[in-house]
Amino acid sequence: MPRRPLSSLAALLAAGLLVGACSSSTTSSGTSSTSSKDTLKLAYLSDMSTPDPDVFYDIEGNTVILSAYEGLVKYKPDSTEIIPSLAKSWDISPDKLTYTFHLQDGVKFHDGTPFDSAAVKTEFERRLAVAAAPAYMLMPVATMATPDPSTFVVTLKSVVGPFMDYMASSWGPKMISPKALADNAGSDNAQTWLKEHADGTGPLMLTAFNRGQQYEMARFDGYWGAKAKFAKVDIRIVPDMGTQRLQLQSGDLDVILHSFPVAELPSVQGNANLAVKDFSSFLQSLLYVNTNKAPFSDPAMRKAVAGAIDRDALVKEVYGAYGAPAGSPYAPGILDQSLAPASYPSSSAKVPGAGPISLVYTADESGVQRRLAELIQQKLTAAGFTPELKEVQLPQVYEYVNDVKAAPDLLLMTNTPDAAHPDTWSRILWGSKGGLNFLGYSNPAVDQLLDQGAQAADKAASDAAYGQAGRLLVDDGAILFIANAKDVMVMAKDLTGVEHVPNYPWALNLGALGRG
Amino acid sequence: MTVVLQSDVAATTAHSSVLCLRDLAVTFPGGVRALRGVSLDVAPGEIVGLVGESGSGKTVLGLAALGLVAPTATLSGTARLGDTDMVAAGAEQRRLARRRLAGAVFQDPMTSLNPTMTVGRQVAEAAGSMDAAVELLERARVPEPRRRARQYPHQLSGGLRQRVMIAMAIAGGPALVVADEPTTALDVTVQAEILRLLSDLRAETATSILFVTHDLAVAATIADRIVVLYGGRLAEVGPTEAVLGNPDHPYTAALLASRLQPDSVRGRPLATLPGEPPDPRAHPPGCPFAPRCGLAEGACDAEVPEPTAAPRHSGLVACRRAGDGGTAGRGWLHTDDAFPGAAPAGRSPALRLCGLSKSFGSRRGRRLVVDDLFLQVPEGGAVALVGESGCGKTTTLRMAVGLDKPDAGTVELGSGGRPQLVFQDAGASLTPWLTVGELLDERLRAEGVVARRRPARIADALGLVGLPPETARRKPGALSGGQRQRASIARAVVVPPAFLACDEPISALDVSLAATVLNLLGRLRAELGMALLFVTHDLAAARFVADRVAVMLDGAIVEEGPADDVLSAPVHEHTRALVAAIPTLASN
Amino acid sequence: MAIAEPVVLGGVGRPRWAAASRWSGMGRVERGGIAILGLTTVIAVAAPLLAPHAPTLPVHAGSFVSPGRGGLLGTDDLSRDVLSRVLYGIRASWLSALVVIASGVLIGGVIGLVAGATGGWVDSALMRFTDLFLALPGPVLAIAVVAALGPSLPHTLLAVGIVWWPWYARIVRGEVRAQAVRPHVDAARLAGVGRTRRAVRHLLPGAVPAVLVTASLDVGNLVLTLAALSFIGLGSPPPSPELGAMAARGMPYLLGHPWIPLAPAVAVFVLAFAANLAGDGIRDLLETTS
Repeated sequence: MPRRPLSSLAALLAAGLLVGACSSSTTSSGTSSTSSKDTLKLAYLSDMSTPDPDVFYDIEGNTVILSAYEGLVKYKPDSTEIIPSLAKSWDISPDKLTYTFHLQDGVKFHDGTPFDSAAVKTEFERRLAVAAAPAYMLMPVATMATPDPSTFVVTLKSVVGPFMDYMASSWGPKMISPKALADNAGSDNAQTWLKEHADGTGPLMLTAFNRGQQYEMARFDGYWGAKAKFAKVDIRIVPDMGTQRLQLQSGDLDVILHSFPVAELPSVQGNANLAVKDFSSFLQSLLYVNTNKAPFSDPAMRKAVAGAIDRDALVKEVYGAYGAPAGSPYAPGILDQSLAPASYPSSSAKVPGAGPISLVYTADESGVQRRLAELIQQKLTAAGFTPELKEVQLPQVYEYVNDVKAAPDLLLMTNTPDAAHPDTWSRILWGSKGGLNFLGYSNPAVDQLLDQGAQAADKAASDAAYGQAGRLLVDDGAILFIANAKDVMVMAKDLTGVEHVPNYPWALNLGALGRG
Repeated sequence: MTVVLQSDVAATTAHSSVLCLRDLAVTFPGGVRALRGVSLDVAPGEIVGLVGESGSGKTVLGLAALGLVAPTATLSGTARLGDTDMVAAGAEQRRLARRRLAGAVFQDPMTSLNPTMTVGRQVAEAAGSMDAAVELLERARVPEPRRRARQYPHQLSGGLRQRVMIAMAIAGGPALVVADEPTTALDVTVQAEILRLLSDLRAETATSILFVTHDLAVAATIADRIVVLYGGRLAEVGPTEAVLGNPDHPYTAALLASRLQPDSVRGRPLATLPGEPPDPRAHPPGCPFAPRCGLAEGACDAEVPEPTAAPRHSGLVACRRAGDGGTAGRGWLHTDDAFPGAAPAGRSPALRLCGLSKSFGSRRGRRLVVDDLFLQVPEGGAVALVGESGCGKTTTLRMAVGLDKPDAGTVELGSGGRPQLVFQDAGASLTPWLTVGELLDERLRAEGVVARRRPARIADALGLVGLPPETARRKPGALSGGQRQRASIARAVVVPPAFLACDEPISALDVSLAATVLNLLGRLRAELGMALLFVTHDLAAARFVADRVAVMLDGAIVEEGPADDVLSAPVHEHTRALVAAIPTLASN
Repeated sequence: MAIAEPVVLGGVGRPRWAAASRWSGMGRVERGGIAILGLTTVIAVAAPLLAPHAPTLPVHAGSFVSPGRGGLLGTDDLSRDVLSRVLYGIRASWLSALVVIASGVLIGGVIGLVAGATGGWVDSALMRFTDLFLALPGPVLAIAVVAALGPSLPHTLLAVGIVWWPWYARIVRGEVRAQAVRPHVDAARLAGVGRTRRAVRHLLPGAVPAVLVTASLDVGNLVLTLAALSFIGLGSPPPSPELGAMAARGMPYLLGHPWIPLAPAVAVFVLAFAANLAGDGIRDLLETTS
């Protein structure tokens, strides 16, 4: 009798379950290990969406963008301080509308084209023309001027508090060779070409982009600053964390950049060749509560959930040393924690009126989200709810806001702000029109405070307004702030020059990284 | 123990026999003792007829001679083929010995021939070349051997396939050919031809033949020497004429007595053997035949008799009473009382077939199987429909009882219940997962007999066919072949039908069983007043059972008349051929 | 060589009396499979009694406790007792497989019997209908059903059941057709047995051995299929203890805390292996008897 297709799948999966993790350890050493000293070997769990900096708006891929391209400014390692990059200095007019950037000299793009103010203007114009998600950062721009090749002046329509942070963001404007843009313009501002190529000023050049397999980068010897220490960087697509771990242990991989299961970290710490490094980040795990339908249209029920999940114990269990209960809606470093405190006293009492609810979480390879969600399910069950748990992929989450009545009651996610500025967090997360306001929370008072913060004359007033907005939100219980997570990487011990920026999650400064 | 066999042929030909069995015993897993110490020699150029009922061990003996017994079996003794002991030798040695010295023909050539190869290639594999193969086919009297060699087994008739098997068996000039029931599945005329062929081949090539059969008459036709097996032991061995004329073993005598002959007296039941053949798992401690033997005395049950010189012929017999001179007497054999006077055939017909036609086939081509057939069975009368396979007799029968619809013509049934049919394979006609009681009950139910009266009716019917009432609780698988045949007859007569059709009811049965069934049918017909339509290829059986015989050829009746007339003075050429082909004990 | 060897060389054919030795005739491995399967059935029925803890609730020992130190198989990342979850998982797998097979046998049996016993255009129509379902890609259908109705065990079983019954319809139909040309059916017709009764009493039981063999071999297949679907997230939603899902969500811990994914995976393996062995054993058993 012919066997069913189902069962062959079953056999495959069952076999994979048992041997999959063991069989792939030695298969793909390949060419990269020939000059292993000089090559940095990295892995991505999945392809980056695109290496085009004006379209790219994800976290996976930060390493490629940040080493192939540079912006005008950047953040200092382990800090939110903005430091020079392609702009060696800048002036801001007293009305906070005009920004004048004084550019570095002697900078060349990978194709040899010299970098100048015209290139900045070209990039700004392209970003607006492409009009992808990160274009919002330049929407407030009124005019641009290039009085001389090393000066770039931009004037805003209105005051934008986080403008300099936008410039420093990993998703902010990155300089692309104007010659490459012109040569490969096509009909879409060179978007097609930039899907597989890069031409920036960064310390590494993208030399190969094989989607689904491997990206290759090579040292840019014409780099204006300190040259990269590695001659080559290989980034392989290894979609399975177990495989990445085995490759790391066998030396086929130098760094696991993210999603290493926290619970498994102790097993690595005994390995003499590996080091676990954790860095502060702005990653925050959040529990969105759907305020648009019963039972959580009732603020009392939202409060009950906050008490029932026993957040502090939960965070300790899941994150251990690599996360802490979120003390505020804003990550430390973005806003003074005391301006908007968030704490949820735990309560073990049954919640009156608790019934069936839906609890959705986004899939992640590390298992952290799933574990958090299942523990929350346990706690809520104990409180009398009957939570139905469902894992979804990220794109699905963006659909919820279109029909909030059909959206889940609770949504668990981990997010990070676009830049180290409270506006880039609060406005997208809980502003009425925020891009990550998935369950359609809306509070006019909050919106008003956010606008107030963005246009405030000084930082203190601005921070006060953002803080006030955060307090309102915490009181409303529309988003429960679970944990500030650390960026945890496992890497070969002999790596040197490890530089990490809190606002650039899952990324290291590859230009500074060296071996031995 | 060494037994020196002194048959005429063996003594005159050579000391070095082709096949030499000594104390051969074969036991299958589960304690099935198929052979229990058999010694036998086959001389060069000799034809030995190995006769016995199913379960007597005759087939196993043939396979053991070839070294082909299933490896799960336990063998002891010796079976020397040429100079190779087929018991002790390894598989490869046995294969070589077979290749060099032996050939085999089995009952069903379809299971031995490869359906995906032309018969020519298959023979050529044995013969070495295609030319040699064609020559062998010619010697096996395959007409148009070159054309036939290019055909596949399924394109050949049963007789031709058997000739192909014979051609393969004689390839390489074997010293011994084992032929296991090679003619049982064939029509009588074809059977006669095959027997003649084997006999001629022996004459041409001096090949010895071990001819295994259940039919004494067939063995008598061809064999120089007869070996009778019973219960895995030798019962009697001797020259054919001597054994048939002066049997010294009561079992041989009984077989001869129950054999239906063209001259058996009609209306008088055949002699039958009581009881059943022994269960090969539990042979009686003494003589295996003792439980059925009318001459048995106490000592017969205690000790297994060894073959000793036969008193009345030059062979051997294994019977304590052989010397007493009484073994040939048939008085102890079971004989029913004469059938009560059969109801005279009435005037109104129980069955009338008028202009019956039936064809089968697909759109590509239809084959006319029954062609404008007329036949009448009077009320209470018995008609035998005789013909060879493929003549349309079974189709006629199926239309008569309403299982098939005729394309043209009418089937008229007289008054009385639904017509019934006794199938050729009684075992297959009983639903295997239902008990005999349930099967009979169904029929009573369909006839409207109320539930509480059915058990008594079932017991009555079983009694009528000679089965104990507890048979009702048995499933067909737990019954012997004879019991199954009786059970199927019981179902047919539990509500006596006005008309009973029988489709070759004895062709698959051993001789002693066949006699029992014929007797039973004769008695039931007389007691219940049923009309009988009896389909058979066996003219002797036809004459014994029926008042009138109709001979069928190519879908039509070619001769019809009173049974005795048709057999004694056949008019149609085909009838004459059929009569001539009947193997008889006297024909050797 | 001059001897074309016949198919049956035993000489005695398949004697009735061989039935007594059919247990001993079955291989030791097959008997082992049947024994394990029997044990599994006991576990499936008695899981609530055997499990030391509730399968969905945390135990005191805490999370990631290795086997032996807190419960026989340790605890998982949510402080749940792995042994209890595996026991409940076996129960779920087992009962699910039986439900799919039972529904397959029932639906397929009815359709196969009607088609086989009736013949003609009814047979053709029913078999084309069956083919239609056979052509459905099982996993895709399962995903579609689950996507449409939401992930839950009944929905998965429904999807698998939809692609599973046609095999039984075909087997039953084939066996019934084979029985229909046998003399005992003609004999029943002559005995005056009606069409329905003939189908049920004289045809259907003939399909039982083939269905039994298929069903017993299918158990292992189904355990694997359902585990695979559960592995890719098409089973009961969490926290239900399902072997496939347990293995899937334990995968991140494979290297550091291997018992979490391996315990359910080994249970699936043992279950499927034992079921296949037992299936072979049952086939041997039925083939020697018939």
